[in-house]
Amino acid sequence: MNTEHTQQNMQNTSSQLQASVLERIEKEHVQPMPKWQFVLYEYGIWCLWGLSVVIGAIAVAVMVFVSMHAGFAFYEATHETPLSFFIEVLPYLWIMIFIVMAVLAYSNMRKTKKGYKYPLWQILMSSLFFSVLGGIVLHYAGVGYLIDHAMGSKMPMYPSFEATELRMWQMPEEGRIVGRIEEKQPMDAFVRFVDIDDNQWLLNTQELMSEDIATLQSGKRVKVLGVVTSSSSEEFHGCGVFAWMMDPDVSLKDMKNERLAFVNRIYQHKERSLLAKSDAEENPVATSLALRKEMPENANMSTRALEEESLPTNTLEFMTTDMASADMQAVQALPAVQRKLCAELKAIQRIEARMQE
Amino acid sequence: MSLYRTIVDMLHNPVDMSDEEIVTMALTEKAFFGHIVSRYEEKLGRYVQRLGIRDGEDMQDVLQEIFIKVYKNLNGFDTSLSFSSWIYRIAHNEAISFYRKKHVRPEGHLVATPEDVFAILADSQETQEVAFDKSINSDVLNTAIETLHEKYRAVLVLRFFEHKEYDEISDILKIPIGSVGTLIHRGKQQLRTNIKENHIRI
Repeated sequence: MNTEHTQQNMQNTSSQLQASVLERIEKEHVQPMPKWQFVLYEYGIWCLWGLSVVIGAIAVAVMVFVSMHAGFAFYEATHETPLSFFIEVLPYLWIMIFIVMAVLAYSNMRKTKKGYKYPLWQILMSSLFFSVLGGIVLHYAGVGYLIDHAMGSKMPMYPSFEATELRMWQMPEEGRIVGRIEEKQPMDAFVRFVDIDDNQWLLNTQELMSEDIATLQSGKRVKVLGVVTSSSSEEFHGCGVFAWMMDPDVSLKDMKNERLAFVNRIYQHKERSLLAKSDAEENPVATSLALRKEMPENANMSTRALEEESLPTNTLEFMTTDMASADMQAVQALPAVQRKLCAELKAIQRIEARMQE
Repeated sequence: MSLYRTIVDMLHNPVDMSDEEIVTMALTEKAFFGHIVSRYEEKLGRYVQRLGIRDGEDMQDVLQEIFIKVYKNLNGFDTSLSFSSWIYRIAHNEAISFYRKKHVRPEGHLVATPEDVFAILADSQETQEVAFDKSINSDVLNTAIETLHEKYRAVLVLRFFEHKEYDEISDILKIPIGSVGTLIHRGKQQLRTNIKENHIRI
């Protein structure tokens, strides 16, 4: 009943509505909006979409730059686990920017004339496709590095990737320094090395391989893995030298080679350590002497592989033979590698004592 | 003089003119817009009513706003769409913003006939069920539709009351055609559930 009444009412007001609409148009001087405003709006939306894709591409370029230079090759040297490494190096800011831009791109595309015709995944994938493609192109054009570097130098709050890497690698107490050798000096057993904090080091190069020496001699900024052998004399015993690799034009091949070089060094240390272990079981004194020659005094962290090696039981017994119980407890509390070094020192002391006799 | 005569003739006899032609004419002579109003006021009136604007005065206000908006946006008419879809889109948006302004839930006046009920609930795989469904009267259907989510209600109204095709619904609601099908399917399922759950039958 109510429905019929409303329909009847509609018919009665039909001509009234037409008249009232036209009257209102006349009275309020309503004019159709000019066409250029609609065209401008459409172009504006497309420009915003393009802008979100470009910013997304920049975010991708920085993310690619960071992930390619994150030093995954050295995660064993800088972090306990791959997970802790990724947690530290992930470019959270750029990941967030990328997500926000993807959402904006989607939203802008939906507002275009035909945008609603396409399903979410198509719009999202097309925007992501352009962002990722653009990001890779920008990365190879060096934009990722430039943006990250420029923001890092202009904005103190921005944690640039280079700054993060420097913070991770300039840790002498953990056996990592970044810097370059002083110019014009012969390549001797010890070379003068200046780190990024302007600390002067005497870098022991005896354990370095020819590739390390070549890298060092390039005069470019390098990363050095090793140990501080004497806190007073600022002597650093180098175990491996690697290119800084923070330039935007470093290729994947370079990074692969860097990774291989690092793994080789780890294996060399392992082999040396295992050899020392088996020798020590047969002749603890001779082995300790040999190690004494090869290893630095406080080789606490030259590599994780070395640190993980346990001291041979007989070496520990030998070391603690005539020790006071308090000293024995102190020695047993030491990390394995330091106990090994204590054993070597003990052996040397005994030999020296016999020689004096 | 002859152009003037043509315009006057067209103004008095626009039956043969397409919507698009009237729009073109209305951009130069606003009196032509009256024909757009007369062509669509009944259809749009029913549509906004079905969307839940029951009060006569409210409906008149909403219709007037719709036509004023249509006039203002005449230059933005996308000629790749049918004019009907475009004007329904404006009507739909205006009705939705009316609810939102008034903070009220639409109260239906869907004016469904038994044929409408059949159209909504019929399914080739469920012909047996249709006989049962057909026995549901229009008031019950209207009540059940009122309880549907807005997104389902809009597509069902457009499809089964306004008899729009999928691509037209897609253009009116600005959703992909695939989503129209999905929403209609889900809306029908939801509608059946609502009716059965309430045990409402004649």
